[in-house]
Amino acid sequence: MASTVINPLRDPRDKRLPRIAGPSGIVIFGVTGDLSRKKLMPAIYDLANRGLLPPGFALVGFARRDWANEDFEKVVHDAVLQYARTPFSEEVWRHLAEGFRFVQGAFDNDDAFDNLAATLGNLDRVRGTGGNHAFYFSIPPSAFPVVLQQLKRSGLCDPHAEEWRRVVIEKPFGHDLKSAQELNSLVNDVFPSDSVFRIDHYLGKETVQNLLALRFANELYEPIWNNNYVDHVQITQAEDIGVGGRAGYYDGIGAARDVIQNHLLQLMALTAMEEPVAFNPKDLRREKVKVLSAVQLPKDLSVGAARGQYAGAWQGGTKVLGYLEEEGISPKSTTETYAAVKLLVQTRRWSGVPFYLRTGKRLGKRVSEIAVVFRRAPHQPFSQNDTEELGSNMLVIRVQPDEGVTIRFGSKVPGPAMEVRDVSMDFSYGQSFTEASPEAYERLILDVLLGEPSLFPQDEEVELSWKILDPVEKHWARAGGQPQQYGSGSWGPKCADAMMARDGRAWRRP
Amino acid sequence: MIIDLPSTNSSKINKALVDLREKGGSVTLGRVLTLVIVAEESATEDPIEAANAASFEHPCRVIVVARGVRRASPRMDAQIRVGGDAGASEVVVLRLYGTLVDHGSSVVVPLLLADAPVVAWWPGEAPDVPADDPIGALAERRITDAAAARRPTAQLAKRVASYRPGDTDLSWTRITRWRGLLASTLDQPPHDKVTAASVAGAPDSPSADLLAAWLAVALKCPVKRIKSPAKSGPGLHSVILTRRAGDISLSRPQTITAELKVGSQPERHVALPRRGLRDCLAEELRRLDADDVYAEVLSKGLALVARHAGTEPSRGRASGGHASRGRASGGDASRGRASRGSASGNSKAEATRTGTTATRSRTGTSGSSNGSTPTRRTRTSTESKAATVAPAVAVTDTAAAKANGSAATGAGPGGTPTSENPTTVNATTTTATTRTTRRRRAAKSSSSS
Repeated sequence: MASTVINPLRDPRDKRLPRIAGPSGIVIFGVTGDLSRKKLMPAIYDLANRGLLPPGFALVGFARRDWANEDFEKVVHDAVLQYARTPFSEEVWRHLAEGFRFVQGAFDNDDAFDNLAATLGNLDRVRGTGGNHAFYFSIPPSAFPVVLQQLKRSGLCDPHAEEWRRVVIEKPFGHDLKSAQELNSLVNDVFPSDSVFRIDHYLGKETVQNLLALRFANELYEPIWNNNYVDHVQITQAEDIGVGGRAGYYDGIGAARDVIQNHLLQLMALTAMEEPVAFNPKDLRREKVKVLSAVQLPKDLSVGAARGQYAGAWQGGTKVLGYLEEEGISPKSTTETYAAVKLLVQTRRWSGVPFYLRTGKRLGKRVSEIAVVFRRAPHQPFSQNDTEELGSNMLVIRVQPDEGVTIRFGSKVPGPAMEVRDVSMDFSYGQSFTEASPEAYERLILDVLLGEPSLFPQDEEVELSWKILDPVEKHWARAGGQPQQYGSGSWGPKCADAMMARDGRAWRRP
Repeated sequence: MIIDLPSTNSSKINKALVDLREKGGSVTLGRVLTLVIVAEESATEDPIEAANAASFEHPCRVIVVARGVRRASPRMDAQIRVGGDAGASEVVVLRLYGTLVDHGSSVVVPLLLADAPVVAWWPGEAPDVPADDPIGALAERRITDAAAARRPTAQLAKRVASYRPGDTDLSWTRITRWRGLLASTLDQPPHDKVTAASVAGAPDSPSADLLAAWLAVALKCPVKRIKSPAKSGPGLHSVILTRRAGDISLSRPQTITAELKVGSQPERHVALPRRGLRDCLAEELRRLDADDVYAEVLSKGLALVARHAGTEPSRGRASGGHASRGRASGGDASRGRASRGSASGNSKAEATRTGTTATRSRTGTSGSSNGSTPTRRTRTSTESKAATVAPAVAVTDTAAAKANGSAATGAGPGGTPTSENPTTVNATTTTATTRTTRRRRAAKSSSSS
C-alpha cells in the first residue's frame, strides 16, 4: 500500500535515512519459550535502541502463565540484559516498556482472545499502534489451527482500511508435502499469503545476503560459477549440541526435516540460482523456485543419501549421552540426527555438478558454510611430487560463526624446492565491518514490520522443498532399521563418508 | 600498547608499523580505510576516542595530525597506539611543530593504506575550502563540523560556498534520526501533502538550519526556521509539518525524550538523545560516496529557507506562535482547521502576524506585476468563504500568505481577516511559480469542501 505513494522525504539517493517501521505492535504467542527470551525480546530491544522501531511500539505477550504486566516486563528486562547486543539504555527501555502488555490464557480460551482483542484495541488508542499488528507464532505447529481459528473468531485477523495484520511462523513448515500444503491452506484461509512471513533465520544472516552480492555484484566469480570450473558443492550445517530440551519436538522429525528442508535447500537455491532480473522479492523468488524445481535426486537413494544417530562419547572434554539415551527419546527411535544427501541440479549451468548437503547434531563444532570446490587444473607443469600437497581450489562462504569468505589455493612453499601447498585467503566480516551486522532476528522482525518479504520463503518454495525431500524420507522409512551410529564430536557416520568416497570425493572438514 | 617515536619521520613510523604487524598478526590488512584527523594539538583526545569507538564498526588506520606550536623549530613526534588503546584501529598520532605544521600532507601520504579510501576529518575549525586543503585533497570524504566551530552559522555559510562532492558535515549527520522519524510518519496514510513546515532550534544551530533546508527541498513547501531564544537550550527543538489531515509535530523539549504527535493519534514518546561523536562518525564512515542530498540541501535548501525568512516578521514573536501552535494542534487536529483556529489567544496572534506580513510585503516591493488584477478576484472569492469558516488563520494560511507575498495568486483558503491584499511580486523564480500553482490548487479544493 505504502509503496504506491511516494513519500517526498524519501529520496532514493538519501542512503542515510533509516527505514523506521510505521506505527505497529507485535504479539508473541508462546512468549515464555526459549526462542522468545533469547532471540525475539533482545532483538526487539536492539531494534528500539538502534531507533528503528516506531515510537509507541507495543509488545504483547500471550501465554498460559499467570503473569501480570509487571512480571512480563521483568522477564523481558532480564532477557534484554542477558542477551541484547547493544548497550542498555534506561531511556530507550522506559519508552519501550510502556508498550508491554501480557495477556494470560490458553489457546482454546475464547475469553483470552477477546481479552487480547481488547488489549490491542486499547494499544491502538493509548500507544497509537494504528491497528497494525504482527502475530508471532513461537508455538508448536500443532497449536497453529486453534490459534488461527481464534484469531479469525475474534476478528483479529481482519484489518480495517489501511491497517495491516501479519502472521509470522517459524519452521517446521509441515513435515511433508501434504502437511505443508495443509498448513499453507490453513494459514492462507485466515491470512492472505502476502501477510504470511515464514521465518528462516538463516536467511536473515548477513552472509547469506552477501552471497548474492558476492555472486552478482562482482565480475570475479560469476564466470567460474558453473560446471566448467566447479567440481561439486558442499553445504554444511553442523551443531555441536544434542537435542537437549527439544527432544519432544525432534523425535520423529529428524535432521533432514529439521534443517535440510528449509535452511540447506534455501542456501543451495541461493548458491545455484541464476541472476535475478532485479533485486526484489518477486524476481528473487522466481529464480529460487526455478532452481528448486530443477533439483533431482540420485536414482539410487541408498547410495545417494546417508543418515546417522549420535552415540555417547567424550566430546570436547565432556562426556555426553547418545541420542537413544537422551531423556524423552525412545531407546528404539529411528530418528536420524545426521542426514546427508546428494542432489543434482538439472540445468545447463550445473549439469554434472553434485550438491552435497549435510547436517547433524553433536558434530565436531558448530558451523554453517557453503563450500564451492573447483576442478583441478587440467594440466600441471609441476611434477606430481611438487604438487602432492595441493588440494582443490575452494571458495568457502562461512555463514556462521565467524562470518566471512575463505578462498583456498596453492602457493609455493618458500625455499629452494618448487613445492606447492594449499593456503587460505580470508575475508572476515568481523574484520572489515565489525559489529555493524545486526542479528538475523532483528533484520527479520524489522522486515515483518515494514512488510518487506524478500527474505522470507513463500508457499511455493516450501512445497518444492518438500517435493525434493519426501522421496528421501520415504526411502528411509521403507528401508527401516536403525540409522548408523557415529561418535559424538566426530564428523558423522561412516556411510556418509562412503557416499562421498564412491564419487571419488571427500567431505571437507569445516 | 603505546609506542612513542620522538623526532621521527614517516618512514621510521612505517617501519614500526610493519614490525608491529609481524609481531601481532596481520591485523592491518583487514583495515577498510584511513581516517586522517586534523586538529589542534590540545584537542585531539576526544576525536581519537570517537574514532577508536567507531573503529569497531569500521576497522581503520587513524592518522592524527596534531598541529602544535608554529613558533618552534620544525619537528615531528609520533606515537603509535594499537590493541586495547586503539579499539579495532591502529592510531598514529603525529605532533607537528614549527613550519612542519603547514605541511601535514607530506607526512600523511606515506602512511596511507594501499588502495583503501581516505577520509579527512576536522573535528574543530575546518579550512575554508576543505577540498583544496592539501590533506583534504588526498581524501575521498571530507568531514567538517560546523557546530564545533567558533561561529557555527558563518561556518555553515562557508560550507555552502566551498562544497565539493565528498564534503559532509557532522551537523548534518546529527539530524539523521530526526529525518528518519519524520520520513517514517509520512510513510503512513493519509498521504496528504505537507503544505508548510517549521523548524525551531537554537539560533546558531547549523543542524536546525540544515533540517529546515532539507524539508524545504524535499517537501517543496514554505519552511520557517524559528530561532528559539538561546536560553531554551542548544540544538534542535521541534519540527512541525502542517497538512490538512492534521499536523505532525516532533519536539524534544530539553530532555532526551522526543514527543511525536501525528494528527489526532495519541502522543508518542521516543528516546532521541543528541547523537554522540562516535555514532556520527560511524555513520559518516558507513558510506564514502558523495552525499547528493546534503549537496542539494546546501545549495538549494538553505537559500529557500532564507528567501522565505526574508518575508518574515520579527523573530521573537514567531517563536512564541510556534510554541502555542504546537500545543493547539495536539488535541484537536481531528476537528479540522476551523476548530484549530478557535483555540483562543492563538488566533489573535496569528491574525496580527499575518497582517504584518501583508503590510510588509506590500511596502517592501510596490512595483506590481500584471498578475495583480486576476489575483485580487480569486482572493476575494476565497476570502468570503473562508471568513465564514474561521476568523483566525491556520498555519497553512500564514505560510501561504507569506509564500505568496511573492507570486501573489491564490492565497490559502483561510485568507487574511484583514482586507489587505498582498498583491505584489517580490521574487519570481521557478520555485515560487510552482509553489503558487500548487497552492492555488489547494485553495480550490479546500474552498469547495
